[in-house]
Amino acid sequence: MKNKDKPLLAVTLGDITGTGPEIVVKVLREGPRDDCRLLIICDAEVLRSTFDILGARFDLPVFQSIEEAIAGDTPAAVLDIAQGNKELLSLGHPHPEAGRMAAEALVGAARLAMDGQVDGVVYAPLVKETMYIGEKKYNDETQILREKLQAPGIKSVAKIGEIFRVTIAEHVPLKKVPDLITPQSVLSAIELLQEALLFYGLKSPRLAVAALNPHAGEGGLVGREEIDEIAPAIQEARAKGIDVSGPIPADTVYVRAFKGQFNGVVNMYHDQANIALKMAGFGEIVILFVRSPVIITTPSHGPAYGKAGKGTADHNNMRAAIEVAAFLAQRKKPPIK
Amino acid sequence: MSEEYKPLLAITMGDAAGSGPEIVAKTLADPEVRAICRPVVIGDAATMQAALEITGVSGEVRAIEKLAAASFQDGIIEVIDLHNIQLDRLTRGRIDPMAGKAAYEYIKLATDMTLAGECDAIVTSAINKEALNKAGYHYDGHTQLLAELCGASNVAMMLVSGKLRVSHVTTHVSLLRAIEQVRPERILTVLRLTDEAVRQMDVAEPRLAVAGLNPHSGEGGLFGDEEIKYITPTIEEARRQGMNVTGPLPPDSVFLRTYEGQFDAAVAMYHDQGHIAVKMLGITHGVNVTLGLPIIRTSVDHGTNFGKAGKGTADPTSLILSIKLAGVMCRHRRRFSCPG
Repeated sequence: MKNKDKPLLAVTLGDITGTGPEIVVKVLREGPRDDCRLLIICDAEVLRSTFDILGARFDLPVFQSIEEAIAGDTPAAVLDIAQGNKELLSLGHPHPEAGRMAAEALVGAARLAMDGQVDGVVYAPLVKETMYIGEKKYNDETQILREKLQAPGIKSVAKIGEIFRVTIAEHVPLKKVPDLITPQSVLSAIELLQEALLFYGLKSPRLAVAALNPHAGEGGLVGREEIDEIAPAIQEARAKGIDVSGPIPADTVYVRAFKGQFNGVVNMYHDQANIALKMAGFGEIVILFVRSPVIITTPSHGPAYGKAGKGTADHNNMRAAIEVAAFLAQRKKPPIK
Repeated sequence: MSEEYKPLLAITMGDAAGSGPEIVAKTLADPEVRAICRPVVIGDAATMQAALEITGVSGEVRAIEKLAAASFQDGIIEVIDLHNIQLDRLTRGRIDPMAGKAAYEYIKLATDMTLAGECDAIVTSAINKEALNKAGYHYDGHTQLLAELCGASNVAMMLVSGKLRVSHVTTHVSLLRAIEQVRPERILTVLRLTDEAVRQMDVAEPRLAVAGLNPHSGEGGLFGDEEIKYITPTIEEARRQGMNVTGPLPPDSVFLRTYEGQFDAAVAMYHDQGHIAVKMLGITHGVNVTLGLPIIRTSVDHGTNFGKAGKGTADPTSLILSIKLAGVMCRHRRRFSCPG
C-alpha cells in the first residue's frame, strides 16, 4: 500500500503533563506503519521537546494547515496548533490548562474526522479532574464527544486483547449495583456489545453475560437477580438473533472467554472484569467509541503523571489503539487503488 | 525429612458416584504423599477396590476397623470401612442419595476422629451438594457442615493457588447480603484467622493485604463508603493487635500484588472477588482451607467431576496439594505446641 492509500489518523497527545506525548513519540520511533499514516495534532514545540527528552531526533514534517498536511505523502507528519499557556505547566503536575489543551485538541481532531479530512482519531490519555473546554467542566470524554459531535448515542466499549467488554455499573458503589441490574439495562448492554463486535467486523460474534451473585445465584439460593433480571434479558436478546450465553458465574466467564469461547462479555460491575483482566496479565486494552459518526480510539490507561518525563512509560496500549483505529478505518473505507 | 513427624491424615473418600475414589487411589500411590504423612481413608472399601481397578494403580485395599490396625505401608490403601455403598446399585456420574449419605458419614467420622485427637487433620475429597441434600443433609457445602460438626461459629474459606492465598470475609451469600456482612467484627475475625493460618503455613511474620469492597476501594467515598466506615477502622484495630496489615487496596490490584509476593495473603470481601483472582491465574490446581475450625482441614478445590467418574482419568493434583498443605500445617502446630 502506498502512503496515500493508507488511512490517515489524527493523533493527539492527551494531557501533556502526563505520559501522553512520550507514548506517542515512542510509537513514532517504531517507524512507518503499514496500516495507516499518522498526523499528530499538537503544539509542535511540545512534541519536539518530548523527542529531546527521549534522546531521539525530531525529523517529522511540520505543517501549519490541514490542507498542506493532507497533501503530504509521508508516513507521519505534524499539524502544528500553537496552543495554550505552556508556561503554567510542568511534567507530572496536572493542571486545568493542560486539560483544556488536551480536550480542545481532541475536539479539533474529531471535527477534522467529521469533515472527512482524516479517517479516524486516536487520543492519548487525559483525566476527568482537569477536563475543561473553556470554563466548562466535563465528566469524561464521552460527554465531550456527544456534545461536540452532536451524537448523543456515543458509547465506549473496551477491547481487551481480542475480547470486548461492556460493564453495566462501572464507577458506582457496589451496594448500588443490584438496583442497576434490570432486564432493560442488561439488554442494552448486550445490544451495545453486539454492535461493537459487528462494528469491528465479526460476522457472528458470541457473547457472554456474567452473573451478579456467586455461582450465578445457584438457582435463586444466593440471589435472585439472575432469574428475575438477567435471564429474561438474555432470552430477549436471543429472540433478536444475538448469540449470547449466560448468566455465567463471574469466576469462570473470563476463563472461558480467554479459551476462545466468547468474543465479548457483559459485566455487571467494575471489578468483575478488572480483577480478571489484571490477573490474566494479558495484553493491551483499547477503548473504542461506537454509535459515533467518526472512528475514535484511545488507550485505556490514565496519563501516569508519576512517570512523566522519565522515559519509562509503556506505549503498547497506545500502539494498540492506533492499530484498532487503522483497522476500523480500513474496514470503513477500503483503500483506493 | 526422615526425622520430620509424619502426621496421620483422615482422607475422606468423597462422593462415590464421582471421581473422588479414583483420585484418592492415585494420590495414595504418590511416593511424595507417602513420604510426608500417614494416610488413612475414611470411606467404603469395596468402592476403593473398584477405584484401584479403574485407575490401574497397583496396590492393595485393606479394610480396617480401627486406626490402631493401620500399618501405613506403601502400596496399601487402608480404609476405615463404613460399608455404606452398594456397588451394584451405584451409577457413576449421577447424583445418588446413597452416595450423598455415605459422603456425609465419612466427613462425620473423620471429623470426630480428628476432634478426638486420633488423627492430626482431615483432608476432604469432593462431595456433591445436591446428593447431600437429597440424602436429607441440608448444607451449602463442606464448610458449613464442618463448622456445625465442630461447633465452630466463625469460620472462613481460604483458597491457596500457587503463591496466592486468599481468604474470604463472605462466601455463599448473594452479593447484596455479602455487602451487608462486610462489618468490622467479621473482617477482624477473618484477619485474625488468616494471620493464624498463614503462620501455620510456615510464614513467620505474615504480611496481610485487605481488598476494598468498592471499585478503586471507594476512591475516597466517591464510589462507596464501606472502606471508610468499616474496613479502614478494622485494619487499624488489627494493627493495634499486632498484625501486619495493608489496605484497603483496590480490588483489581490487591490479588496480583499478593501473587507477586508483596503480601503473604489477601483478604477478599466477597466470593467472586477472591475466586475470580484465583481462577484467572490459570493454575488448574488449588487447595481450599477452612479457617476457624478447632481442627486442621484442607480440601480439593474442585467438584465431583461426574463426567470423568469411572474412567480413571481424573487428575489427583489438587488432593495431593491438599495433603501436602495439611502436612505443613500439622507439623507447624506440633512444633509450636510441643516445644523441644
